[in-house]
Amino acid sequence: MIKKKVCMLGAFAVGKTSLVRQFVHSIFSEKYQTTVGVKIDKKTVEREGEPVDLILWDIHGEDAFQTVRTSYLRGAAGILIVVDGTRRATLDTAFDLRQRALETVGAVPVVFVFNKSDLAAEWELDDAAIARVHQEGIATVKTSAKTGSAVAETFEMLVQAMMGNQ
Amino acid sequence: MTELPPVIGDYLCRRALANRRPAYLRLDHDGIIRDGGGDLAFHALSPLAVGRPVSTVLDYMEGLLPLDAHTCHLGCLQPQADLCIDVHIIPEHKTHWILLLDTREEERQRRAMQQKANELALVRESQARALSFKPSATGPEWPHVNFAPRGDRREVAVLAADLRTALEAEAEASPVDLIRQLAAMQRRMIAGLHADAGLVHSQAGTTLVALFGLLPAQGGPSEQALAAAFNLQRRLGGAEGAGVSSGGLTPPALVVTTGTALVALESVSTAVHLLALGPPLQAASQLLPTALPGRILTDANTFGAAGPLQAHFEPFAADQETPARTRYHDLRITRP
Repeated sequence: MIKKKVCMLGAFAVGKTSLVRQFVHSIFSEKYQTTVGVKIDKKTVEREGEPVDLILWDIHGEDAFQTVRTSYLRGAAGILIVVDGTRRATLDTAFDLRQRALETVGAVPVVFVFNKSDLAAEWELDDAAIARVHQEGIATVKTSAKTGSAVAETFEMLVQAMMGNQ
Repeated sequence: MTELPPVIGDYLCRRALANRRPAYLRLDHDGIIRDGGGDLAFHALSPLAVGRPVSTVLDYMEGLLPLDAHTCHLGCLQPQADLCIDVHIIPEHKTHWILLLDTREEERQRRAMQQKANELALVRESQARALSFKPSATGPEWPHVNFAPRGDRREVAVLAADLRTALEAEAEASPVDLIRQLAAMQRRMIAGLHADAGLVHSQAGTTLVALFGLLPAQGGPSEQALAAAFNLQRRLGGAEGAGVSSGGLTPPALVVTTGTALVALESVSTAVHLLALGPPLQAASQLLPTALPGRILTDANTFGAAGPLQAHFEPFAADQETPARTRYHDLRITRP
């Protein structure tokens, strides 16, 4: 059985835990609940007929109390960095985290996940901003943990990139 | 390590482990479980799967081994809903020791505090956005600010940022590209100021002015504004920052001043505007021309109220004329 460790990173309240819950359990809650430390989850996906176990590390958001410890990233095969499209500052946090992650784990696949696409009217980031991220060679995707839009596809995209790296 | 009498050492050990339900595993250098002990049942490790790879028993161990000479600490891991543990991995020759400790109580306490702080930060961000000249579709609503919306005298801190040196440094760049780059940088700055409880008061040309102390936040106005200035430095690549988000432009010169100002909210059409007038705004506009790009310049009032952040500043004299005691520059290498 192939196992891959995937880390979820991002500022606080961008929807990391909601994305994991949607992906693993197909549920969503409107209530914001902060994460302390790391929630570990597991989901088996298939790639070319072979099962792949994803060990999901839903790591607490960057906030005034917690800075992500790089020890959490050890052994990561892929990283999803989540941005809240309605809060521009979370993109800065994402770039900061990407830099630290790459310094820790080296060149593993990274995807910037622009979450909360269901709140399109409140977005502070336009398509041009996302395009600029893409131009820096970073894979990007728009998701909604609430509706489930593109959530499974995001993890599939990362699995594809991780397996391609082997 | 400090030598302690056995009675003290034993006492400390008992205190540290009380209610921690310690359990340990010993692995060989291939990560195979060789033996273990302690409260294995609590950690769902009983009966112990001797002879199996640890990552097949504990999913979160995937990719973590082998370690080099250094220990690894993973705090507050929640491998299942009712479990929260600290994991310590200790390499010793060709063996790895894994120590597991219950941290449910610590997690509960931290979560309660953090939940409140993060909720407050989200409210603050949304109010700051609403106040920063953004028309609403349904008409103005007075946000929950720390002052009487119709007018008040308040102790505020002013953070002024100037990107003029970016224009000077990029004199050869095409005007349209430069304007776009500056606008993008100002947007990032505004988002950062909102996140740090600042209200944008004005934006003109290359200058941006924000006020602190008007939205609910931790610390006094001076501390809030200085912390926001350091965060801007980090985000925009000032001082020793990485420059990831500055788009290659010279980072802004930053000034922080403190004092009493007249503040009020005014509704014009569907927008709410922040009005402010007073000595700290004047002081900021006077200091801004002497501030250096990527650095934070502050006045004696702010420095006096900076608390622990004082350690990150030193007296500054411009052109050998200004008395050093009235101005302070951030130290380049001790940013908090």
